[in-house]
Formats: sequence, structure tokens, C-alpha cells
Amino acid sequence: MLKKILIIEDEATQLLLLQTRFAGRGFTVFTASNGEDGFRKAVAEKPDLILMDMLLPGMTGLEVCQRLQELPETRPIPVLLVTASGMRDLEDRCKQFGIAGCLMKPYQLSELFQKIETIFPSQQNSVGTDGARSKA
Amino acid sequence: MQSLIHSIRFGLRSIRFRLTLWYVSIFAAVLCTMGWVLYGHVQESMSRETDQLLILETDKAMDRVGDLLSGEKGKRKSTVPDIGEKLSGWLEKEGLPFIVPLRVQDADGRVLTSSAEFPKLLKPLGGTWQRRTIFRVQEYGGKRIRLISRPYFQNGDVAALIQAATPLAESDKALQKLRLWLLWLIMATLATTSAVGWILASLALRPIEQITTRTQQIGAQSLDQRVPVAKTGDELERLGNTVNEMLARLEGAFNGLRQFSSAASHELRTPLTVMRGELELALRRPRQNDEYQRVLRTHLETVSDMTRIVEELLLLAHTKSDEAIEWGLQDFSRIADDVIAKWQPQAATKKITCARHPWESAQVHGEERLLNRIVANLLENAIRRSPEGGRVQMSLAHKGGKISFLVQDSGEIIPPEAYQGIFDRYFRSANAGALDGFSGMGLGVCRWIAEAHHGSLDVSSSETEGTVFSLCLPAHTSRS
Repeated sequence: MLKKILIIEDEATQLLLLQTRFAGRGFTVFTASNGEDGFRKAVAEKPDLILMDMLLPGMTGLEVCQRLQELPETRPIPVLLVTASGMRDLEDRCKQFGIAGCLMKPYQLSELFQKIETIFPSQQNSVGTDGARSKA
Repeated sequence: MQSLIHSIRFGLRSIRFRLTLWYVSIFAAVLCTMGWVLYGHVQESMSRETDQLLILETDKAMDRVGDLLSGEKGKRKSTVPDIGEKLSGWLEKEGLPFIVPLRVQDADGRVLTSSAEFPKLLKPLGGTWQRRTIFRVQEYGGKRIRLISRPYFQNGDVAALIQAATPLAESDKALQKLRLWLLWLIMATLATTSAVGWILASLALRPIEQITTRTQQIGAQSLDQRVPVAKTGDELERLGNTVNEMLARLEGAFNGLRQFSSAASHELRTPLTVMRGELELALRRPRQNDEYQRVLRTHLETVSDMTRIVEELLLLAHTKSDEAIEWGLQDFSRIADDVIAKWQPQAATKKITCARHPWESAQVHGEERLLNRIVANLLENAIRRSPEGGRVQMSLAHKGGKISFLVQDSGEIIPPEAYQGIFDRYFRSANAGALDGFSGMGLGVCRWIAEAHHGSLDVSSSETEGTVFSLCLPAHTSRS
């Protein structure tokens, strides 16, 4: 059962919005505003999913992913990477860093939940898509 | 202390001070001139009255001397030396008929008779002066006196000189009072006008002060602020409006720069992060040559993409005006043909058919590099958006003084609410289905190029027609 989620996002508003949305759906939400803190919380809490911005102050999202891959206890945690770039083949190229999927800003919450469903098909009912169209 | 000196220096150089100084100086000059004219007029009047008095008084003595010397009015004819005694008797008998002291002397300067009050030290007149009536002012006993000397002629010669004197103390005192009064009046008026002038100048210049204060507060982070402008229709309103227009231009330029930095950061940081991560991963352990080559090839593509992004950013940030264009006559159909030929292999890899119909010859005024860019961007977008095995339909028509270049793709439909967004200068791919595939700032660049060439670029999207980008440019005709 998908219950614990770690959100690593340096933009406070975005972080609060995501935290509220996920908490409202019954998730236990952990947050971090930079890569180092995010990595520490990932090791400590071992969340079921990590939603992380690509460009973070200090350690970048990819670096966090690489460090998570190095530890056996964090390696299995799926990571959803969020980026503002329209870079070609980004998702394919990111897979080598152990990333489960990419989401490009600006995205809608329904898209985020759809993406989570593709990663956790069995959790369909947990994440649900209630048609929330507000911009994340 | 330094700031006090600076304030005083600034105060002395300020327009308010200079305006007041000019105003007061001119007013002072006018007041002084008026005072001087008034004082001169009063002095002249008083002097004339004194002289008239002296003439009237000496007239009586002249008559008496005449009577005595001519023997008229029943009197015995006297000689000059004799009239002294008779005149003295007359003076005594008449009491004090004279307001002013009198003295009568003969032509040789001998005093025939004199009032007791007549200044004794005054020397008798002599020489040619005797033949004229003269007025003069003399110092006597520390006081000024006005003196008249009138000759009495007998047989063409001066027989006697009748003199009268009157002190000027009263008139001098009155004139001194007038001088003081005028001085005080001028000073009080100047003090009042200085204060009023300062207040008026301050009131008139208050908008400038407000503009200065507000302008000092405006920094790079507050360029949206404007200076207060009162609707007075005068020079200050013009100044305020001019400053505000300049601020608006600065704000626009600064926002452009900020957008540029932001867009550059967004567009370039992700590819750089990915490339760095890939390089670190590749170098973590020894690999086969083909693996290194694969990484290098991927990076080469990314570098090409980033180069294009930088070029587009620079082009967009350059200027909105058509001044940036190197104008020339261009064969648009040839340019489009060249671009299509270049992109044909790219289309072939996705098995996309690129069709041209109708395809007319068309010439336009513009810059070849930019026209090439707009066609390439439109075609690249169409190929990217179209599914494998899809179709990109292009047409070039020339009618009504315009050329119309249409690019139709078989990609997903764009919702009307997204039409404007895809042309935003720094629009980023939203990865939301139909909008996926637009690269970086491509369409923003395209619209800028179209508008800089006095044309337009629009989009329409429907289930039946697919997505059509229409570029419209003024055509070159033999007359144009």
C-alpha cells in the first residue's frame, strides 16, 4: 500500500501545494527543500515514493538519485523527477539514474496522479484521479 | 558638518533659490528706481517752494529799493549810500514783515542794511555774479542754508544786491525722514516678497521635488512604480509623463533581461545537469569505446540543442523593432524549398510525408537568415508533432499583395485556449499531450520574425483541418 511520500522541492509554494494535496489523500508526507536534506530524509524514512525537482540548490536531483542508488535500502524507492525543461529524450536518459518517470512543468495534478498510477498500477485506488485540474 | 556645507551649497545652487533671487533682485531694482524718482520729485518740489519763498520776500525789498532810488510814491530820491539807513528804518518800522533774513549791499560789496538774523559770515558776492540772480546752498554754523542774491539795476549797472537766506534744516529733516521711510518700505517689501517668492517657488517646484524623491526610491526591483503627475497641462506634467515613459521603457527592457535570464536558466540548466550526471556516470568505471561514443553522440545532440536555444534567446532578447533586420529582396519559395530539402531526412526517419501544394513563386523583402529560421522552425515543429507515418502539408500562395505560407500537421489538436501560450516568447513545452513537441522558444521567435517583417503568424487547430500555422508576409511586387 502506497502510504509514505517524500517531496523534495525548493519552491515553498509548490511544496505546500503538493504537501496539502497528498496529505488530503491520506498520504504521510515528508518534505525537504534541498537535495542534502531530501537524501537524509529518504534514508531515514524510506518512503514509498519520492517526488523531486530536478534543479535543487546544492545537490541536484540527479545527484540525489545517484546517491539513493548507491544504498541498497533506498535503491528500490521509485523517484518521479520534475523539470521545467522541454529537453528531448529526457525521460529515457534519466532512467540510467534510477528514475521511474519525468514530469514537465507546468503540469496538472491529474497528470501527476496518472504518472504515479503508471508506476504503481496496483495502487490505483490509493492515489485516485478525482479530476483535480488545478495547476500544480 | 560636511553634509551641512553640502546642503548650503546645494541650497545656493537650487532653482528655488535662484528663482527667488532673480525675483527679489528685479523687484528691488524696480522699488529703488521708484523710490529714487519719488525722492527726487519731493526734493525738487521742496527746493522750488523754498526758492519761490525767497523770490517773493526779496521782491518786497527790491520794490523798496526801487522806490528809494527812483523817488517814487512821494519819496525823495535817494542815492545808493543813503538808502542803507532808510532801509534799516523800514525794516524796523515794518517790524518783521520778512519771513527770511535780508541783507542789502552795494555793488562794491558794502552792506547797506542787514537783518540781525542774516548770517554775517557770508561773504558778499562780487564780480560777474552780481549781474545775475543766483541761488546757492551754503554751510553756515554746521547747517545748510539756501541763499538768493538779486541785482537791482540802475542805468544798466548794478546799483544794489538784495540777498535773502533761509535755513534748509526743516526741508532737510523732511527729506531725511522720507529717505528713511523709503528705505524701510523697500526693505520690508523686499523681505515680504522674498518670503512670498520662496513659498511660491517652493509650491511651483514641489512636483519636481516629488518626482526626485520618488525617482530616488525606484530601483531595479521597483521599476513598476511611477512618479506622481498632476494633470495641470504644464511643463511639469510633461516632465512627469516623460519620466514615466522612460521608466516604462526601462521596465520593459529590464523585464526582457530578467525573462531572458530566467529562460536561459530554465532551458539550459536541465540539459547541463543531465550531461554532467551522464558524464559522471560514464567515468565511474572503465567502459568500452562504443559506450563512450554513445555518450559523446548524445551529448553532441544536446550541445546542438543548447546552441540553438542560446541563439534563439539572443535573437529574442535582441530587439522587437525591425531595425535589427538587414533588408533585402528574397525569393521566399526558394528559401522554403531549401529548408524542406534539409529537413526531408528527419521526416523520412518518422516516415512522414512532406507535401507542397499549391506552391507558387513568391518574393518578399526581408532577411534571408530570419526567413530561413521561421520556415525551419515551423517545419521542425510540424515533423515533431506529427505521429509516425503522418503527413505535413505545406502551401505557398501569392494573393492580394501578400504571401501566405501554411504548414499543416497531423499532430494532436491544440485547444484554442492554448493558442496564445504557444507564441509566448519563452514558452516551454508543457508535455500535456497536444502541446508536446514545441521546442523551447521556437514559435516565439517565429512570431517575432513575422511581425518584424510587417507580417503575422497565427495558428488554428481542429479535428477536420488538423493544426495549421499560417504565416502571412507582404509580397514584393514590381511596384514595391
